[in-house]
Amino acid sequence: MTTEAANTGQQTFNPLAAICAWLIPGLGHWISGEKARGGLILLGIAFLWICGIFIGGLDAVDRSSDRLWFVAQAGSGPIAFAVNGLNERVIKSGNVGELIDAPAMRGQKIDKISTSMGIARANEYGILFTALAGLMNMIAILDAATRTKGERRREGEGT
Amino acid sequence: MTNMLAWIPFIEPVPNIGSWWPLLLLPLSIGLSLVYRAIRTKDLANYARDVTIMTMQIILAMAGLGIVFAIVVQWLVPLLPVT
Repeated sequence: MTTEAANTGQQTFNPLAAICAWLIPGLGHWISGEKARGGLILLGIAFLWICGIFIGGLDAVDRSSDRLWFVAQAGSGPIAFAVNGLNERVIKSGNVGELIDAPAMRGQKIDKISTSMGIARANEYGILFTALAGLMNMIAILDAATRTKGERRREGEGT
Repeated sequence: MTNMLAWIPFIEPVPNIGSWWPLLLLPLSIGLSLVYRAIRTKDLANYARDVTIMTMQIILAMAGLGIVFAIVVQWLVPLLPVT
C-alpha cells in the first residue's frame, strides 16, 4: 500500500496480509496491527474446526471423496491439508477401525472402506463446520488484504 | 451406550447423533458469528453483544424457515388435488 493511498483511505490489495491470513487465520489482521481482531478471527475459525472434527471425526476432511467441499475447507489454510493427511494415514489406511468391503454394483471394483469413516448426519455436519470455517476465513483474507489504513486506525481506537 | 465407550473423539465421528442433530445449529451459528463479527464489528468493545445478537438472528431465522417449510409440507401440500 502506498503512503498516499493509506492517507486518503483508498482501498488497495495487500498480498502479504492475504498470504499470512491464509497460512494462519487472523495473522493477516495481526500483522496489520489489529492484534485483537486477528486473535478473535483465529478463535472463531479454531472453534469451527474443533467442533467439525469432534462431530465428524478425521473423515470430515477428505480430498479424494469430497473434492468440492475440500476446496472450501482449504480456505482455512494448511490445517485442511494436515487433517486430510491424517485421515489418509489413520482412518483410510485402517490404523483405526477395520477395513471392510464397500457395497458395489455387480461388475464394479470393490473398494475397501474403514469402519471408522463418517456417515450420515455426523459426516455431513463435520464437513459443514469445516467448510464454513474455510469460507469464513476467505472473507477474513479479503478483509485483511483490502482494509485501508484509515479503517485500521479508526477501529484501533475502539480496541 | 456401547458405541460411546468405543468412540475415539476427534478421530471417529460422534456416534448416535440420530435424533439430536438439529441442536448442532447452535454451535454452528455461534462459530459463524464469532468469525463474522470479528471481521465486521467496528468497535470490538461491542463484540460479545454483536456475537450474541447475530447468533440469535441465525437461530430464529432457521427456526422460522423450519416452521414455514413444515406448514407447506404438512398442511398445504396435502391440500393439493390428486390427479
